[in-house]
Amino acid sequence: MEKRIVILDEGLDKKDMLDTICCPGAAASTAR
Amino acid sequence: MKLSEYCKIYRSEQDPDNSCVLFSTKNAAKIRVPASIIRDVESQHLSDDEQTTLLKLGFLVADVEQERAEMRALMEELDAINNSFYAKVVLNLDCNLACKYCFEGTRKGQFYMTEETVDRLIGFIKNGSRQHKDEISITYYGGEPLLSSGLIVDMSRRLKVIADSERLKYTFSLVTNGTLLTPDLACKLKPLGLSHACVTIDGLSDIHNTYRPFRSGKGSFDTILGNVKDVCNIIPVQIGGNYTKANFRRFPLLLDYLMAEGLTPERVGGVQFYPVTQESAEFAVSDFREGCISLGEPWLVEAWLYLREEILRRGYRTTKVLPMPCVMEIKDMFVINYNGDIYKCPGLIGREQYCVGNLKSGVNDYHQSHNLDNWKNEECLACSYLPICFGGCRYMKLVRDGNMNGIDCRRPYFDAVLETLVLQDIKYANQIQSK
Repeated sequence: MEKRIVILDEGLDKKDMLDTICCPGAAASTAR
Repeated sequence: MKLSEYCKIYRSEQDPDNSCVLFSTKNAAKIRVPASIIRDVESQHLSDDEQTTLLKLGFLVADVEQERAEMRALMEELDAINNSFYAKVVLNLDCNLACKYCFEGTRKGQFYMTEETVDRLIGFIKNGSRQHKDEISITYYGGEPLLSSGLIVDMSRRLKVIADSERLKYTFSLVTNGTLLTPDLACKLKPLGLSHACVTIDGLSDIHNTYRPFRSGKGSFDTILGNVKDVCNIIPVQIGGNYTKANFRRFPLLLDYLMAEGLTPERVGGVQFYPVTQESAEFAVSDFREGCISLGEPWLVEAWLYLREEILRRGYRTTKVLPMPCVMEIKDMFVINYNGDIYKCPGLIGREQYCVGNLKSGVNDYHQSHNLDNWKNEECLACSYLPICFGGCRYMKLVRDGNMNGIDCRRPYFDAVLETLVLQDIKYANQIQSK
């Protein structure tokens, strides 16, 4: 049977979320 | 098996009549599937392989209540797996620029971190990094951190010694206006652990020099551009820019200028444009009123989508749509003011009621004062946007309403922008950064 699910992005591990913390300060809010 | 509550279903651009894109707000996974698969989830007619794939990617869950319980416990889980001790260090509140919208505003002055405070800070970081960590990560911030470049060198040498002796990695980044970021300095800092610098350029020289002049009144555009051109071969430079309702449409001209000047996408770490945020009257630069205090301002939808598309279609990299916890929620992340006071967010510097301690006495409990559980209510837990929102921005709520009570709901904003953002992330997958 033809595959019905095309994976475009496997997504992040939870640990990766620690690299995308949000903090304000205009340009300073880029991820660390 | 049920579809996750933290999943959005959008029409696929490739085959809008028959297929759709599923986006997990929990982990940013994306798949394209025929529309029939949604019905098959509901009627339990998925094949074993399909079920396994959807479970692994987070689109299917055994029990919705269990998924909510896991979401409630997420920050504790992140704290437990966090192997990095992170501090944003305000080395001074001084600056050689006089930006019209300065974020620090009236808090600025000739205030510099002393040697004594640096000694305490090194001790604080050393203690924190011993709690099952394998990395020390610092962002040097200000004011203008490169007015304290001697301290950066001194701290980095000392932290490298500590890191080496404890078998940790030490890295740091800079949030700088770029005027002092010379190649000589970048070459000096790189072996000490400098990973990258974030530099702000607000459009072409006419806008930039109006909003970000030197204190003398002279424009800073040429100095910054010259430094970025020279330094981007030494370290990655992220270019940020702060726009207003009146000028955002002209920001793409900066991208064309960068390209013409040889700052091509492969030479620039990434580009992100942000709306200027309006500080409260207590701290704002007195005559500046153009900042925004809510993502609910309608023009922001147009500005955000337009500028992101302009960045991406020119080949520059930018950040993808990701789950994004607030820095206040993560235990081992701190903002250290020049005087040793400790905060949980750079926006709170100087707001005494939100000071969570100092380097002499340590960190106090801030759970209540910072309203950390504000999103742990039925409405937020049932909202598909929760993992990319977590109750919005407490700082923006504070500036707007004078308190952090309740939440800063972003549902209307995400209703307006998220589908386009996700489709951009698919279309420009090679340019989308997860850090």
